[in-house]
Amino acid sequence: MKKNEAILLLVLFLFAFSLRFYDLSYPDFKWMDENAHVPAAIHYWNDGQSEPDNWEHPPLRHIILYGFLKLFGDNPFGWRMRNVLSGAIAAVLTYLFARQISGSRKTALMAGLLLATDPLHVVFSRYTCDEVYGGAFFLAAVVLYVKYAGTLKVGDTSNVTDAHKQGMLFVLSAFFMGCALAIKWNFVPGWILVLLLALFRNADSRDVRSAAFVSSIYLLVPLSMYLLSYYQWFGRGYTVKELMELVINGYYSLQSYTSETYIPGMTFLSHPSASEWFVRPIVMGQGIYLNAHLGEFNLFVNNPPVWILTIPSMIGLAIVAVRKKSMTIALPVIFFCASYMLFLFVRRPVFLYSAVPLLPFAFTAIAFLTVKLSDRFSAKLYYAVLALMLSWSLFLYPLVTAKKVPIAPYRYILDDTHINIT
Amino acid sequence: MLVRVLKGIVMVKENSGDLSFKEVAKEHPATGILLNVRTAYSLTAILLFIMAIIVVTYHGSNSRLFASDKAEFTVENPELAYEIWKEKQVQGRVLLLFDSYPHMGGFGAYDGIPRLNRSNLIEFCVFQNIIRKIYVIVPDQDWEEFRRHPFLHPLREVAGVERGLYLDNLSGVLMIATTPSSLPHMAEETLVYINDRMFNYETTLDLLSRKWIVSDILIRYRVKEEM
Repeated sequence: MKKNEAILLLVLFLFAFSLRFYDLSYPDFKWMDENAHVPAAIHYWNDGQSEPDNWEHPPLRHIILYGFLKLFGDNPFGWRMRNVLSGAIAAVLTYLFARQISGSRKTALMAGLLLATDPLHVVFSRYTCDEVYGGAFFLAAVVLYVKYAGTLKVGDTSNVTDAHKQGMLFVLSAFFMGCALAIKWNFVPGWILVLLLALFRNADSRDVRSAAFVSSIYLLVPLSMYLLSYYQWFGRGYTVKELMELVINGYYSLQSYTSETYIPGMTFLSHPSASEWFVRPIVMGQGIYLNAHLGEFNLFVNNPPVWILTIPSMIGLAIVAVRKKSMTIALPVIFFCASYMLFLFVRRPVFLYSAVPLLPFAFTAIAFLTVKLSDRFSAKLYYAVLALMLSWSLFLYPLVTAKKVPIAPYRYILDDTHINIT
Repeated sequence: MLVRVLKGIVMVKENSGDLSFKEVAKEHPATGILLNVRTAYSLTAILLFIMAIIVVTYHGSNSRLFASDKAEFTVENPELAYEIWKEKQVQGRVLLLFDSYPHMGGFGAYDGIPRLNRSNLIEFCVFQNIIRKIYVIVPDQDWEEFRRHPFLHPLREVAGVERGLYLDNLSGVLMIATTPSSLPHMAEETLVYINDRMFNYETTLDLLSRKWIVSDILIRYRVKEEM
């Protein structure tokens, strides 16, 4: 990577970080799931128990949060810095992923900026939502895999140093995938997908040693991470067999979730289906009217002007990939579909926060096609689309992050019925 | 085999930078086929996984504490069972609960830190990590009625057990409802709690003996007027 691109990445990180960090200590009390996540982190570290949080999800989230609580203290920074950092890193990783897919800096920059400014990603990066850092781990695994896939192939004349470098890329990818899996099971389709892609990359599956290498690294490293994340739980006397019992119980328990399982009036219950994420506006959250002209709101929105382009972009990218016979170009589509299908067909309510890990792939596809179209018609198109999208996202920023905002410009958004006004 | 693999790794390392794998393999045909970097990484991953299993197994087994001698106690109040388990310093244990379904309201059922009361003995002991797994024993004749109870949240059937259900609860503690006839043999010593009003004490002891179940602390709950 050239120096000026490294500087660009640093600026992107700082920009994403600033949006997430600014006024982080407000509110200075735990809100929504923070009331469960923070005590659960302490409880898990001390006693190996996940209460008052859900027991079904793997416990790496508690361990990481506990580390941040130790680092920053039991205060808003300790509660939220994990997400601020991983949210900002996710913007950089989105840039790197889009760069790998397209080879274009313009595509990468647009994708990175879209994630850096996306209202939903920003809001959840200022909160303890699992999908932000889980998604960042997953994206890191994908970026490292793509890097690995672009290096040595079976039959290449290589030296030991190159082979070690390649091996380490794959191990690191497996490590981050393990971290993602030890946070939520949402990443299982992506895990299997990378494993299959690696196996069938250049017919690696036909070479026994290469197949063994891919399978052992990508199965056992994540499983080891998963197992070790339960270290405190094992401290309650449990056995590996009992962990399997717990995991199967967790699966059955999650499958049994219905809208009635949740606390009545929970914000996300107004939109319990993934089918509408990328096709219609979704606005929910909470807020307060300070007077007739001023209000303060914390909203979860799907940013329709950008998100609505996702499905057409995915179709467009798939067509480009087929025409060019390029698996690399198809990767955003494949990863997006693998994750999204799970949410579309799973037998339980699925809420908007689960869309967060999909966004890097969505924005890469949107950026890719925007650049392709601007190359074909006019270079100005790229800058116009980028400026419009960023302006819109930044316009929403104060509205969704509990800043005092004038009511008038946001009236049509606030009129939505799914906002709990106090 | 392992020695040959390790020797090969050393040779590959010594030759790194100068020779390709193919050349290393040519020079050392006996080991060259197996010994390349990918094999080394595969073996490392397998070792890592085995180590992870060993570490957590050792940690789990070290966290199970048993009473130094076997003893039977009779209590008039359920809370006293906690005092006995605490005094005997047991931890991370399997409990056979010959009683009604335990209170499992979760943290949300308490105002502040959970405290022991007459109804929450089992849940409180789960909070204290005295109990890690519970077998709730339901009389055979009551099983069908029990499993249809509206407040019961069965997760799934227990494989290999005729009458056995994993029950959902807020702490996620492994809780299995079963009947005396379906109660499986336990390889490790268990804690046993028998409510005299629900289960005949002698019959229960006979059941444990027939299933080769050993208990280091057996608690019999009898209300005073029955003693």
